Amino acid sequence: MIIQKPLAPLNGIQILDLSEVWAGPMAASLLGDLGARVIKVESFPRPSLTRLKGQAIGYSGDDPDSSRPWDRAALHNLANRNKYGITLNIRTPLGMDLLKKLVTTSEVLIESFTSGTSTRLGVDYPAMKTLSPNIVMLSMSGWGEEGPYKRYASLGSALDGFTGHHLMRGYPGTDPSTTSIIQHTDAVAAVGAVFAILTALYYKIRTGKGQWIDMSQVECFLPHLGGAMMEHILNDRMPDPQGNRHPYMSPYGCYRCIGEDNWIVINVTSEEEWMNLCSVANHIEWSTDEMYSDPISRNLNQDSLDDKIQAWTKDHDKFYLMEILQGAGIPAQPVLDDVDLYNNRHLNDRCFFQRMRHPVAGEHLYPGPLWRLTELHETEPIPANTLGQHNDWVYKELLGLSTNEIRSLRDQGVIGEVFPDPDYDAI
Amino acid sequence: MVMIKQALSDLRVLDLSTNIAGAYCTRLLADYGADVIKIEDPCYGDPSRNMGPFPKDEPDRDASGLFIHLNGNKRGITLDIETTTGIKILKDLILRADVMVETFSPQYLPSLNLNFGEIRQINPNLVMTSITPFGQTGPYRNHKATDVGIFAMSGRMYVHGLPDQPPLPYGPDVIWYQIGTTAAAATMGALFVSKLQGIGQQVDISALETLVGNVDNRTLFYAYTGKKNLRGRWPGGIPQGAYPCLDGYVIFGVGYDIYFRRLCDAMGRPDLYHNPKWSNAKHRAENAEEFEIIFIEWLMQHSKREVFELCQAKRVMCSPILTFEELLQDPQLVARSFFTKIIHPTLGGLPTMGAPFKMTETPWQNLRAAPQMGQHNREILGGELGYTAADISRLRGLTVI
Repeated sequence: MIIQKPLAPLNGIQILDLSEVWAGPMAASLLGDLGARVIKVESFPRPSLTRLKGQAIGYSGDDPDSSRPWDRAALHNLANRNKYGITLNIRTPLGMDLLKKLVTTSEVLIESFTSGTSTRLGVDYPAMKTLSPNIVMLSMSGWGEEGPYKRYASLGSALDGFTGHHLMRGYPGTDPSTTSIIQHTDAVAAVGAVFAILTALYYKIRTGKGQWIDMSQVECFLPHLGGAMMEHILNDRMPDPQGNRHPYMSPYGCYRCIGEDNWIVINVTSEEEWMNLCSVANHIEWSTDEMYSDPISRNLNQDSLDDKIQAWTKDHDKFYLMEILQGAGIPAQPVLDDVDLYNNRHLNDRCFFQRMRHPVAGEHLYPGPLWRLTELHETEPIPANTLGQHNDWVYKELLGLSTNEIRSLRDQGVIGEVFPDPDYDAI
Repeated sequence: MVMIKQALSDLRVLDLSTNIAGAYCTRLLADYGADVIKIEDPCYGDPSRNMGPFPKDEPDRDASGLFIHLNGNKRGITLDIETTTGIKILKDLILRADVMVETFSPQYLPSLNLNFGEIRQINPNLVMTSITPFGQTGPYRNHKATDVGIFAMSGRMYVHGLPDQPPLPYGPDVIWYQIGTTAAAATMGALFVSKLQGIGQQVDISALETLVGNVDNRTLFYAYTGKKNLRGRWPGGIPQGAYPCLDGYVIFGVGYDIYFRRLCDAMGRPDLYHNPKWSNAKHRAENAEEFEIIFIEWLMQHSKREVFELCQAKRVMCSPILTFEELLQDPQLVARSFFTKIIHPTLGGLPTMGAPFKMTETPWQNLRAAPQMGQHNREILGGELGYTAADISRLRGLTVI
């Protein structure tokens, strides 16, 4: 019997990605992973923020002055796989005209302009709906498309502060200004946007109807603080940072291991695991010591218990500890740095990292898909596009322009493959 | 024509999960219309029922704040799937479902003679989403892990915190929610194959992979440059991160020249960016401390709301750091009606988190509070599977339900 492999979930669906920076582009890449034809439209001649030289972005070859630096930025190339990339100056009538043609042939549009800008540029939902009445359009912003903050400028780290999460992830008792910044709301919005778009597309397939999705990164993330928020609602308490500890389970911590800056997380979640830890560590006397014999005592005496555990872990390799602790059924994982991560035998056994050859940045390993749909063929991923890499293909094959017309667009600066001003600081 | 109120209203989902990732995955599906049936162990119930937070810290399985938050819009039954009758009922439910979400270790369902091959014979179109720390295959597939352990292996924990101290996790449970959201997205992807091509499948969610691929936008730096990302306050220009002000903290992300110029304008100090000490990112890094003294002096004259308004008027990326109390009253969240209310059978009216995104045609809805233990046993077993009242009493007696 021949078992037929199915087609990719989004086979035949065209998605326009007009978004910038991290969350939107990453969402579009993930839809590309599911088989959609994603066309990334980059502004021109102003570069995408993630292609700029201004910040320490991690250039392939580590030399921002090598050729085409805008094609070598790790930040950009991580969030833009599986797309066809074109450039377009939509601030020109000709450019706007071409964008409109692309909109009419697409099922989905993703954008992250601030709400005033999208209206001014003529790419807000009412305008898009006129062109394509059943388009699914997702607008991503920091605080949403309505309300007093709708035009405010946002950044993941600022939103992490707004939601209160910044206050929950520092070292206990330290000033919030020492807490490192993270861009977590972007990561969350990326997968949230994929779910949102697929939900709207599912409805569109059933009914033919499109719609507009207004995604505020703040609102997409806030439910993730639900347990802590319920603590506030029910008991009027805001959780203090716990560091590596748990409110009532112990031992629960991050312990130093042999070598430089090596650590293991050991989280004991039951009495059985506690007894097993004592025996694996060869310290069965811990289990009978009345300071640690029950969960409440252990919780009260965490400091001394953590010292004892670290006195044991600090002489051992983190992977060795993981193996013996897992062998005894205790949740324990080493803290991996980049070197550990790319060399991890479990991830590599699952072929997680994908080797891609980027035309300018060269050949590297990239983190792979976030999920496995077990019936689907593994497909070769396409590396992030170089600037305007697919201009000829998209404008010719999809929009039917002649070679002369494309050349004329290039001459007029409506499209291009090279930034006229590579040192451009920012918009 | 059939009226369709919500995007996923034709979907039936079985939720056998026992962690936050699974529960949040199905909560998202339920919020946008799916009929989600939460299946709980008849003796212990879902673990989150025992975790709290509880009103006045008094444990009560039907009043756990976490359970209430995760299980709104779902129906709930109890079922011991380790009994013959329990398995039979589960199979009946699988026959009528589009999706099943489970978080057991990979060998558990096969031990009940319910591997995916067997499940597929019952319902070839079923999407079974399996969420585990490390996936269904590979040497760590049976390893136990908490959210912190999974985060530890993602590469992100190593860089989170300060160099001379241990790496730190994120806030409580937030990693589980990211994993659950990713699982919901993947489930929808598999549903397209199921509905359009008639092919069901198992979706293998390795929590670790959902993070490594999307937890840190610097993961590729090492592959590109050979340089390891290190733990530290933050990379990039100044001002960056949280700063004190008159009544709390504000957080900034100002790297490029243009944002620095805007910030100086917001401070009423355009002279600062004309000064060669701070005229570009390199000089600003060299003279960071001197700038921060001037900056903090200005900040300490203003409340966090004032700083927010002054800076946003000049389009500087910044935000006040808010407490939950302030969030519940925040003008933006109020204007967007983000917080809504649920009526809980024992706790009464409670504010609750609203839509993670707004849809114009098929909106998020908050239709029912989280189920009490076994609340819908009669409705589902009796009404839908055809068990009689006598059968149901007997099953209850045997603690199958």
